[in-house]
Amino acid sequence: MLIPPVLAVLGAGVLDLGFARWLERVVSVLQRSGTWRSLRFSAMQAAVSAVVCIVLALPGAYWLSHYSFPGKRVVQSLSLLPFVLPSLIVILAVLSFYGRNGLLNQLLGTDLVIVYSPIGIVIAHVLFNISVALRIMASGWMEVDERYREVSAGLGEGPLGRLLHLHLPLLLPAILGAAGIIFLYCFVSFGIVLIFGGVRYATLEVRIYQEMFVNLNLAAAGALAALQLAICAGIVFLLQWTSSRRRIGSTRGRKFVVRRWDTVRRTVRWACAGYWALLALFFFAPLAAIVIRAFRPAGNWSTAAFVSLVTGRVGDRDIHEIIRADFGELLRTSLGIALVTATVTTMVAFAAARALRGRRVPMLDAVVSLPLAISSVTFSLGIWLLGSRLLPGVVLIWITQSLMAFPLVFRSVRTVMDTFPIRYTETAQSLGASLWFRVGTLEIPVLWRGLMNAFTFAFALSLSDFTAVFTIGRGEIVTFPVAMYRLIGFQSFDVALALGVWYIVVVAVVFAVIDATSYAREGQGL
Amino acid sequence: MIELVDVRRTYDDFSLSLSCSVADDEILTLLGSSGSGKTTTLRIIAGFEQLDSGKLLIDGTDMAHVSPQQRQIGYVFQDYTLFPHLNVEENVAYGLRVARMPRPERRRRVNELLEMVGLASFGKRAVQTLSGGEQQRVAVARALVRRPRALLLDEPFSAIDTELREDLRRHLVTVQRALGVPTVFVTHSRTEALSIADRIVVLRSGTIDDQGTPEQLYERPRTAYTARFLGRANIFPTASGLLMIRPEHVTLHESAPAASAGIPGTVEARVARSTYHGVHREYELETARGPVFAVTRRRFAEGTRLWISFPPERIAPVEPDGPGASHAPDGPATAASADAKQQNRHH
Repeated sequence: MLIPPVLAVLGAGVLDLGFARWLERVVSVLQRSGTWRSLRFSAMQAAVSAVVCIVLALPGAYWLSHYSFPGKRVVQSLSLLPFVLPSLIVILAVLSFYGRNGLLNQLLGTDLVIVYSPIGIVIAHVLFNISVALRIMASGWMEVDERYREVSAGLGEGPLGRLLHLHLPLLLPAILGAAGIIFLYCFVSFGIVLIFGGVRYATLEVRIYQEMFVNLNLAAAGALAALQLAICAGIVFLLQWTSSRRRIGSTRGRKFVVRRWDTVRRTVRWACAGYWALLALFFFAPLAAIVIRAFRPAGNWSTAAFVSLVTGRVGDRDIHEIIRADFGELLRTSLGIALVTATVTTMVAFAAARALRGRRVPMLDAVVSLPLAISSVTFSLGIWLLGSRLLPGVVLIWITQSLMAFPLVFRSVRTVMDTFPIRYTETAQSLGASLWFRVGTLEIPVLWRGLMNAFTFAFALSLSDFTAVFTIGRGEIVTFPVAMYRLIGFQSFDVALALGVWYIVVVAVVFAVIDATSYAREGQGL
Repeated sequence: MIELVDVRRTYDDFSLSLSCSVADDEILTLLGSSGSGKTTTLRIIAGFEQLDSGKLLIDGTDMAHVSPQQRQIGYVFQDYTLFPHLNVEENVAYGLRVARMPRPERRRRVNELLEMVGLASFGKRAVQTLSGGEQQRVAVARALVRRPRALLLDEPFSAIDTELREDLRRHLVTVQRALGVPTVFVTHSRTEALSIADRIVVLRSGTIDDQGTPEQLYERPRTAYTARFLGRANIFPTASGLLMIRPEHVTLHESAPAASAGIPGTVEARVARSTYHGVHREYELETARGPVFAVTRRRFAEGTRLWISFPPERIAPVEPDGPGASHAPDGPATAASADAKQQNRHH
């Protein structure tokens, strides 16, 4: 399912132009200095983002893995946030906190201009990905055997030496894994670079988009996509290879101690609290800044931005014209697309997980991580090339979003599925239940909560999707992220922020509703 | 009536091959250590495992192409597998819902079953609030609700406190007798097997070692393996083969019997160890023939000198159980010979 769209992107140029002219164009793209500059820039910003994430997250991963401290649960559950946070919200957050008129400048009384630059891109990427680093490294650290520490202490090694000679080498696979994944995410980053990079700084992903939809140069888009794909696939392969080469010590009698908070020395506690406070400032202050700035459009508290969303007017500007939809339409389109995408994805993932239940599929992990290597612009583009003459844009968006969300949703459904005892199935069989009866009366009700979690995940991924809607919808289909993008582009920043607040509210309400209904459903059977 | 005819099932590290049958209203117990093939046999009857060869007949019909859901067999798993999202009533009614039985009739039938297993007032309870014994009875009610053609129970008492087991066993037998459904009961506990079964099949690494009524198997086992599996056994090699006698049949004399030389098999012994079991004491005795176990209410100090004799009517010949001795790889043949022996014993 993933391959045809990619092939379509690569092949469309040939069909369109004939081989000779296609080749000519491809060569000219590859000779352009801009191409290599973009490649260099993509790699540089991704590498810097990854390193910053790792360095910032290292202490956090240590606290998370070694101590039980108040608020640990909150930190852990918030680490899923970036998956459901649209890049446009991150952009708004960075703008309203670090931007020229942002809270940071207001608080410091300075006039720093850092956002529309590589620095802004890196800040946004770090904001987006630091939790990925936290999670991967914390779980990696939890696999480091406590007995090694005891042995090293017994041999007289001090804490610093132990960190350098014992923990870091043992942690290296987790660090490399996290760095690799963050590098990939940033390497193919689209929305953030599109807005913050302007004309000067573009990643390959942005170039592909420009060639395809702005310059209408299919051959060039295809060539760039192929280049990017090769690099990403190489990194994915490298990641798989390093993780397969991991040396695992004896796990027998392995011991891991999570220290209780009340037994921890005071200096350590302060260090921990200070670290999280700083991280929260970096992480949540920007998100809070969205809300604050949305209610202070001109430096005074007011709801003008929200009012203008409904009335459609800011001064002499017509907001609805800019967005190309009114607020009701926007809400309906966003939720409608997300509903269909989430339903389809969850159902397909359920069917697939059911079919694969109890089987060991050797390449599954590699296949599941493939979408990491395929950029969403390339993929959306391929789907569009394949289907734009056959199916309406909305359907293509459903397909694209479902396919992009599938790996993550599938993974979560599969985990849930593995908890379903095969004996339930056999008991129902012996009571005469057919396949459909079992699915309807047994599997879905028993797994309901887990399936709803996967559904929510898919729903959030769809709501937060910018790339597919933006590239396939071609301006006719407007969801929250697309509307925010337009508003930022037209300098209607306050209204964009108000829309961001709305987005957060909508997501929160949807999650609350899903959560409440799935509890009710669970209680019903008992 | 369930018949397994030359049934074979082979895995990488294990193969099952046997023939046996269960009559209507009979409780057959499959007894064996873990890995002997008890559960596999049960799963073959239920249809969860396929046969490599042989035949499974239920009420004379070949089950080869009948799926588990069409077989109408009640199956109770070791952990009961009550569906967690349904209450007691809904769990029991599940099979009737499958059969699209109208609601009033369904309710009547469910109440009838719950009453039968002694849980009449439990209908609305969440299954998580039930004790192990109650869960087990709900599982039995659920399995019986569609009047199955057979009831299969896989170690149904293994998760239940010892004190409760006896009550539940009696209860199960009562229900089974009331419904007259052929029942196969899997266990690795000899006490359970002896007290519940009409007939016991002893399985050993995938083949039938012996079968018969509890009394036959205990008193006159065919093999040394079965003799030991069902309880403590004194087994002596003699010129004519192995002889077995149970400890409770060994007669103890405190002084040498007057006509000692005249009683065949009277042996001098010394008490090496004694264990108190409440109902009796068990003694390990040292004799010229090797260690002998004996059981009595009488009390002897360790080191006491005794004389023991073996009443001839209590001595049973048994076949040795060395690998290959009586366990030729062709299981069904072995099973068949066991059948033949069975018949002889009946006469």
